[in-house]
Amino acid sequence: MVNIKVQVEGLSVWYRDKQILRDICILIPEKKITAVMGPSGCGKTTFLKSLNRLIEIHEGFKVYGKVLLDGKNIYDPDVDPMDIRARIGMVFQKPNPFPHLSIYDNVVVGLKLRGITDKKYLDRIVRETLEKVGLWDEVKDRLRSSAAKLSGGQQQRLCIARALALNPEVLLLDEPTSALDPLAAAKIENLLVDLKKEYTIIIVTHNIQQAARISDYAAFLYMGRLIEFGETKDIFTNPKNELTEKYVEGKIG
Amino acid sequence: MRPSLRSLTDKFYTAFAIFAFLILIIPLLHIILSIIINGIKRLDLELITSPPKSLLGSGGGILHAIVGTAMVVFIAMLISLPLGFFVGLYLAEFAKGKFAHFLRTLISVLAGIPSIIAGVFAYTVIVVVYGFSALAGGFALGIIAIPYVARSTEEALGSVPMEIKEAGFSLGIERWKVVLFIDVGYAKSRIIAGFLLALARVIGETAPLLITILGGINIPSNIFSPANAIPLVIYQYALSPFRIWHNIAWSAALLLMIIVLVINLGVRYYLKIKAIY
Repeated sequence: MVNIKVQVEGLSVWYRDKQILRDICILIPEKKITAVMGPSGCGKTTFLKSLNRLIEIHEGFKVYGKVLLDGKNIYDPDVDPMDIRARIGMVFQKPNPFPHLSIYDNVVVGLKLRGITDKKYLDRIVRETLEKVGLWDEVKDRLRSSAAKLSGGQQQRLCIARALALNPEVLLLDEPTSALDPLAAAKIENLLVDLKKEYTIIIVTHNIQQAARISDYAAFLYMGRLIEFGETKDIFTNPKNELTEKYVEGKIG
Repeated sequence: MRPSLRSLTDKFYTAFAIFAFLILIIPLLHIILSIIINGIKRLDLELITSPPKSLLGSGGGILHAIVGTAMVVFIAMLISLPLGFFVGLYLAEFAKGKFAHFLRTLISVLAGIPSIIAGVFAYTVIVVVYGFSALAGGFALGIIAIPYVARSTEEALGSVPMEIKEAGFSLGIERWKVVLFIDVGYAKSRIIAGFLLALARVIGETAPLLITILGGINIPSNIFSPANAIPLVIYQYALSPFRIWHNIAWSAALLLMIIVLVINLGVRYYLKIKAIY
């Protein structure tokens, strides 16, 4: 029996007068990797951004339905979106470290701007998170140099470290390897499999093989609807829906 | 083979473009070369280290005007930097809809106002109360610089990519902190470049200084005393009947041109070395 970390109930998202997501219901298990697959434009990214209320910084979006984190709706009026975003970290498609900040400050900028200034604590977090993402040995001698000088794969791992520094419970990743070379992508995949011991991971990908390799559960999104959701092995070997079957066989996408 | 009409038309327009370019470049080169040829003679150490000498003697410099320009520009920056910066920040990050449109129009109007009007305004607000002073001149130039600073700040912040802002928000940081620490930090070098270009823009202003700082030959002792400025010295000396003063005016023009050039090239170089992203 697995615990449910995030429960999405009847989630519909509109952008102006266009409906992007249609009545999505899904149960995300704790400390597993859940992959959200689907062709471009199916609403994967919108779905992900609805899970930490990042969608609200963009104009024109309206969100209906519920997203329960440990049973509490994150869209309830008494919930502070800042706290939600700290508890649900996010990593983006294109590595986006802050180029004007050092490697060190990239990791702790979230903590610092949330009011934590204890130097010893920050030092420890930098070391721990960089070790966790396998970057410590590569950058420990140049923590004060600009993050912009790192390679793409290193930058993406730094972005993961930046999200982990806030000690989130859930980690959202939006096609985190699509801008990377295969070697760097493989490193990130291995890292995610490691990280699921501690975090609930939701990864959006249009790379079917990637979903098959690393995820425990998989969801297939098509034109704003959740077509199928289940254990990854079932989705890939025994899909119930014809569309899912076509998608995992590479016939649509 | 006879040249076709098409190739003739092509040649005609090419010739016309070159002609138009020459029309544009010749007066510009003429100005620059005249300033260099006439100004180089007196562009010496004495020019920038000593105040003017008596009318009949040769030599003397424009130290009083250099100090005056430094004071006036410093005051102008003190006024325009914070105001222009926050107006630009507001426009880029917070202003929406009709009010933003109104504010942008206002900035454009302010940028289009003849600089003498800023001088007249400074006259009525400051000169009438404190007398002719570096403060009044700085106030006038400050007003002229505000729209430039505001616009360049807005443009710099507008260049911050959405991914960077999203990354900031995704860390659970409040909006004003994302704006001040992430967006401004990211756009820092472009904002500073905008400040410097605004400075280069106002340093050569003459008209508003005529009626605010008065001129004269003394090195200003404080911001409430009358002062002179490099462009004002050029104006006054060029209109004088004395050959010696003419030469100093040429050299002052060359000096001003060099200062503006150095600021502009410096900004370019600065942006280049900062262009890590």
